[in-house]
Amino acid sequence: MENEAILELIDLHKKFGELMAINGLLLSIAKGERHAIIGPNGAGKTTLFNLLSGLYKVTSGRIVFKGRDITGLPPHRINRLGIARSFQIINVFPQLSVFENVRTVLMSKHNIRFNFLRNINKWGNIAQETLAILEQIGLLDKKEYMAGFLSYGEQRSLEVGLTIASDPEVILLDEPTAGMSMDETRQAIKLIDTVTRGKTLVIIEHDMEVVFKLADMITVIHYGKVVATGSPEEIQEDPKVKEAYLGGQ
Amino acid sequence: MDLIAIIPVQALHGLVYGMILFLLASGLTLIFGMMNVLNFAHGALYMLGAYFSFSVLLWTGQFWLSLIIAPLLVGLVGVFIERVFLRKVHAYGHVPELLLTFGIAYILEEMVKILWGTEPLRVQIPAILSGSLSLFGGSYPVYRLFIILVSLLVFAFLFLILFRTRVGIIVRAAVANKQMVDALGFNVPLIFLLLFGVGAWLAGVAGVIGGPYLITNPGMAAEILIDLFVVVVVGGLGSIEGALLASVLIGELQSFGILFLPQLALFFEFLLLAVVLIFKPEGLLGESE
Amino acid sequence: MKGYRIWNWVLVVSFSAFVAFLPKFISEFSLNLAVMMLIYSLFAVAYNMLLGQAGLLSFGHAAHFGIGAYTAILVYKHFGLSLLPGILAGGGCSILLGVIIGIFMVRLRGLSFALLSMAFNMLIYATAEKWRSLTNGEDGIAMQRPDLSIPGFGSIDMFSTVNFYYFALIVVVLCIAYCWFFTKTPLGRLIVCTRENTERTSFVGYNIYATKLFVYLICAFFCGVAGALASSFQEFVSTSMINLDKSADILFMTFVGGRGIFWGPIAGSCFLMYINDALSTLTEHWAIIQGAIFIALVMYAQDGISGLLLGMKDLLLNRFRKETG
Repeated sequence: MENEAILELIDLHKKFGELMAINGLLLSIAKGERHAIIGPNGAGKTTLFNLLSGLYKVTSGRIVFKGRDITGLPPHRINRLGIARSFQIINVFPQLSVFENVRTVLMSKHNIRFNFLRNINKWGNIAQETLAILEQIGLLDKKEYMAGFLSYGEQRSLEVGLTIASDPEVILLDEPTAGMSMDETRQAIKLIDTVTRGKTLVIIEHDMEVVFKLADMITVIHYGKVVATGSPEEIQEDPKVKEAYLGGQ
Repeated sequence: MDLIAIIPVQALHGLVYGMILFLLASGLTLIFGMMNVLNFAHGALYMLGAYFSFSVLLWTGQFWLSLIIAPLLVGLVGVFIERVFLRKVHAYGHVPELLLTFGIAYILEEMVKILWGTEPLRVQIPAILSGSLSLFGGSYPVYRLFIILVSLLVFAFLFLILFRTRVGIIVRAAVANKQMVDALGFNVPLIFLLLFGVGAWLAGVAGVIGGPYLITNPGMAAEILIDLFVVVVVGGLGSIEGALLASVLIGELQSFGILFLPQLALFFEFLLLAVVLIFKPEGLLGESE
Repeated sequence: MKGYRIWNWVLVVSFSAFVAFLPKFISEFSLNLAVMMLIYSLFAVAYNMLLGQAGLLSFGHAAHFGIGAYTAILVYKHFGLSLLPGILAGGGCSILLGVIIGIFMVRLRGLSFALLSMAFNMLIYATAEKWRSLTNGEDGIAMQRPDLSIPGFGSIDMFSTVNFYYFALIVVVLCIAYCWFFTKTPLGRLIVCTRENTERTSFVGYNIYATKLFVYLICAFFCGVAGALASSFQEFVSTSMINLDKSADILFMTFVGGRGIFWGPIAGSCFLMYINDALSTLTEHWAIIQGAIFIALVMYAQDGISGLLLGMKDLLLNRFRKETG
């Protein structure tokens, strides 16, 4: 099945002072693909997401989304174009209710940003959409709770919810199952599978069970470069991958 | 007026004021570097130095004694502030810390007004320092040269401690990376306390020697605080070298500015502060990203 | 829970009656104080848009208050306009100032924001002081209160304090009512998001600089209106209304009142102005007490007086509930 590339990373470089964190990274992600990014710690995975989502400025290279060069765009523009990301460390609005957390994203999706003349509750359709998303992520009964008071697993679900609420075409999930128990992980896998259906998913993970359950394609990154890309079977056999993980042992 | 002849004298004026600024800015910037607190009360500590000195002078008649005692008293006040107030508020975040030092500055100024009145005070400097030396073809007040001398002595002393003793290494390490120093088993709260106390002591010294020159009055805290913030921002928060450069820069700016454009001198300084904050919040020598 | 509703209504109605009939039973002097309390309540509520809702600490907001104050007086003096245009012009000029300094300010946060606000305040103060031909420097400008002209209705003389009290009451209540409504609008909710998690707000598609600037301007408008009311009432404007001390005052009032609760700043300004007035006859060192209160609150009660009052109310209600089973 030949899908066109929705996201292309062309010869990316990112330098921090003297350290070249991303060193000539080339990657192409097809539309509708579920692509996992794995690699040892410090390989540059989260840095890659930070570049993709506009948090960091690229030192050199290009990022192309649906044929359009989005290198150097600020985070809010990249989000509006259709790429949304989650964070490794939970990044919700702790003192707002779960409902408000998600509604904030939906207001943005509907381009209501600067309205200072109308009560926010007047947008009934947006409230409905919010409830729908809450149901999807299993937090409907907790909608009045303050986000900061949710359990860790629930906050992780909210984290995913905030990411997918804007109905993005490309979803970047950064270690969504970090710190989870086996049960929580299995539930998270089901959730991610449901909410990202039909979309393009790029997921950074350390938990190989998650990777093999979800991913169509896997890319291994080490020292800021792609070591190997391929199907899960190909990656499992690849000697370069073994070397990357086991080093010189 | 012979322009060329004026320059060295004005430059010297600028240096004198710059040294006082550096005595204050060095403490302030180190405190910021380590504790991430911009101590709004630093100007008030400087003021306390001047006022304590006035009182010691009144009781003992000995200027040299006040030079020893007054800064120590200010240092103790600093330690008290850190231990009783700042330490508690540290956990609440940056805005409460700022508000606290701001409130303390406010109270200290009001206390000074109550204890010493609102009129400017005349501080009697010893006879040795009262005269003038002939310098650059004119005569220059000895007292101002004395300010430079004391400042240089203090800096030499500090430099020795910071760079040649074990305590100094620990302090510098704590400024660079307090978590690591804590992890290595050093008593970081104690280091904070000492640093704040030394910063206050430096402010006290500045107050003692600056008071007679810059006039001891309840407004002196606010007056110097503005210049101080400009110095610390322009020089880069946390950078001693930056503080030194910026102190001299601001000192000279004031000195020549007042000469050529008295109406606009202050204006340019605030403009410099605004420009630096807008374009380079880390200051001229600070680190970026 | 119905009991609560009735209580709330009783409070609102009796408070409104109190405020509406106030001039009948207090002295002229106290009425003066009441007008100033109204004005500073508005200033503090507006200022809290930044401090409490946006989480931005400004040490220089007297710049906006003062611009409003100067604009009103100058507009009366040079263009002969009446009261309402003067007040609106004050708010308008404050917005203009907000545009000029706001585009720089909103790029910063925390300490840098605070220091830049100070720098701009100092610049504006220095300008006001030096530009004697316009502002008369420290000596200030005196100007009689103009009439309130309502098109198609006529004009109402503002010479009496009672008349101005009612005018200020209406203006302030309308403004504060809007500020309350603002907290329920999308922008009002959004600015809280930027305070809670600036990063995430931008990652879900919001331009945080534009957001902060918008809110900065709305705040600036009401601060300018407050300043215009103040100078119009006092029939005088001088650099003391645009200096750093004035900025410190509004910071104290808002923080002491409580920045987390909408009516906190109102409580703070009324409280501080009242005891300032009461204590300044007893001791000239009232300022120390104000400073001590401030420090005590920073250390022990971040939510200010309103937080303490609500806490006490909860405590009493819990006791009451326990005892009545």
